[in-house]
Amino acid sequence: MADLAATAEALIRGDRDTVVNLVKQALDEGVDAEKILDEGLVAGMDVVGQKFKNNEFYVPEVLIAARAMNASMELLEPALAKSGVKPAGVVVLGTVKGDLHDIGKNLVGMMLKGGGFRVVDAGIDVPPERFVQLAQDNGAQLIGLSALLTTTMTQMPNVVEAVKEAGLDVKVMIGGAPITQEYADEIGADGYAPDAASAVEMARGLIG
Amino acid sequence: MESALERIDFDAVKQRFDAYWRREVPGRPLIGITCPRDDAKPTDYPVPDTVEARWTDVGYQCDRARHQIENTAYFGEALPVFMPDIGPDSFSAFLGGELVFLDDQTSWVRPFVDDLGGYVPAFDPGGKWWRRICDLLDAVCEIAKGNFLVGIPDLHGGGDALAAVRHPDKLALDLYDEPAEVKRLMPALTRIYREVFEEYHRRASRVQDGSTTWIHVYSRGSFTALQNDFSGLISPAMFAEFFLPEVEDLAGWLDNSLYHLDGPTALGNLPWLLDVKELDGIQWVPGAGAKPMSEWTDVCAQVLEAGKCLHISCGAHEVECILSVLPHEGLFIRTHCSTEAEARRLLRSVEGRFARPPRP
Repeated sequence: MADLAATAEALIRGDRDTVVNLVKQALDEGVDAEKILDEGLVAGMDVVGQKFKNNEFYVPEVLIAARAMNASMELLEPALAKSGVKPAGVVVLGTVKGDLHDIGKNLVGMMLKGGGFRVVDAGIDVPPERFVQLAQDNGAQLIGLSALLTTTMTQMPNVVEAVKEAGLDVKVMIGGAPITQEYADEIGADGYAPDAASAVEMARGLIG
Repeated sequence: MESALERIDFDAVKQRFDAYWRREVPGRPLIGITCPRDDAKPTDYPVPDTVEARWTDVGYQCDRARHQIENTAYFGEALPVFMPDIGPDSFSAFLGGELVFLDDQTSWVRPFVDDLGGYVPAFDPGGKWWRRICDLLDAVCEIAKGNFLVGIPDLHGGGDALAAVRHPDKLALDLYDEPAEVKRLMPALTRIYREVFEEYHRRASRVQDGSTTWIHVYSRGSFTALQNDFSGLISPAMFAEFFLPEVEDLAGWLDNSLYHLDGPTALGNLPWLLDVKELDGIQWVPGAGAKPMSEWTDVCAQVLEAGKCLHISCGAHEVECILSVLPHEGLFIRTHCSTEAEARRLLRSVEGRFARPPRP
C-alpha cells in the first residue's frame, strides 16, 4: 500500500530509487497525484529546506534530495496535468547582470520546485529586460533575483524599475550573501529571503 | 621608482613578523595601516580597451603596480605588495580550462570535466594561461626589486579547482556519487599545487627574500594562503573527509601558512582547522553583508586561544575595541585610513594604549 510518509523520508535521504519506486507504486494504486505531490514530495522537500536552514543539511544533501524530487516529478507530471493540477505559481529566477554565481540561485530553484512552483531559470548575468521578457512570456507572478557581490547587487533596483516600467503585476524577491531586508526595502523589492528555504516561504506568501 | 621598502624600515617589519609566527608580541600588537599618500597623484597611464588586456597586459599591470605602491602610505606592519593576478580560477586554467573575463573584478573558468572517473589532472607548463601569469610575474618582479614586494599569485587548489573544472553543483553531487574519485583526484591536485607554488616562489625569490601573497603577511620562508571556498557549501564532516588532508599536507610543506576562512558558512570547519598542528593560523573574513569584525571577537578568540595566528581586517574605528578584548600573541590586524594624519594617530594610539615591554 502506498506510503507517502516513507516517500517523504526517502526524499529527505536523497534516495532517488526508493522515491521513484514509491511514487510509481502510489500512482499504480490510484493515489491522487496531487496527494502524492503534497504529502510525499513537497512534505519531504519542506523538511530538507528546514534542515538546510538549521545547518543540519548542506548543499550536497539538498542536491541529492532535489534530484530524487526531479526524477519522481517525471512520473508525476503527466498525472498532474491530466487532473488539471496547477503549480503553486510561476517564478522567473536568475542571477543579475554582471554576476556569474549560480549556486544560490540553483538552490532556490530546487527548493521552489520542491515547493510545487514552476521555475523558469533565466540563468546568470541576466539583464533587467530579460527578466521582464521571461515573466511576460511565462505568465510569472514572481521574479527572484540573486547576487553574490556587493558590486552586482546594484543591478537589483534596475530590475525592480524595469518591472514597474513594463507595468507588470509581478512581485520581486531578492537574496544573496550581501543582501539584507534593509536593502530590499530601500530598492522597493517585495521580499527578501536569507536562504533557500525562506525563499519558498516568501514565494508562498507573496503569491498567496 | 622610490623604494617603498625603504620607507617602511623593512628589516624591522621582518623581525616583527618573525615574532608573529612565534605567537609573540613584539612590544605592541601587530597592525598594518594603509592610506592614500597626502601627495597622491591621479592615474596617469593608458588603460587598455579590452577587459582581457586589463587583466593580462604586462605594461598596464606594471603601471598599476607602480601607481598603487607610489601613492599608498604604509604604517606599522603594512607591506607594500603587488600581486600579479588573473583571477581565482587561474589554477584551474593551468589544468586546461579556458579563462573568461567578465569585467575588471570577475574572471572564471568554464567547467570542462564531464567524466570525473576518467579525469587525470595535468599541468601544462607550456599552456597559455601559465605563460601569461609567468610573464606578469616576471615583469612585476623586474620593477619590484628593492622597491616593493611581489605577492605569490592567488592559488585555489584542490577543492576549489575541482569545483571550477566540474561546476560546484556537480562536485557537491560527486561527494555522494563518486567519493572514491574525488579522493583519487585530491592528492594529484595537491602535487600540481606544489609544482605551481614552487615555480611562483622561485621566480619571486630572484628579486626578494621571503614571501607574501594577497594576504599581506610576511614570511622569511615559503608562505601562502591556503583556501577552499567550496568548503562553505558542505558539511564539516565532508570537509574533513575530502579536503582537510590537503590542508594538512600543504601546511606541513610550507614554512608558514594561513588558512583563509571565508564567511559564516565555513565556520563549522574551524575546529578541524585548529586541530591541524602544522597550520600556523587563520585569516577570518566574515564576508559581504556580514556583521562587522568587532562582532566576531568570539571567533577570533577561539583561533588565538587554540595557539594559532590570526589575521583579520577591520574598520579603523574598530581597531582599539578589538585589541582591548583579544589576546595579542599571534594577532595581526589590517586596516585602512582616509589620511596619513588619521593613520599616524591610530598607530600612536595603539602604541600608547597597548604597548608592552618585550619579554627578556
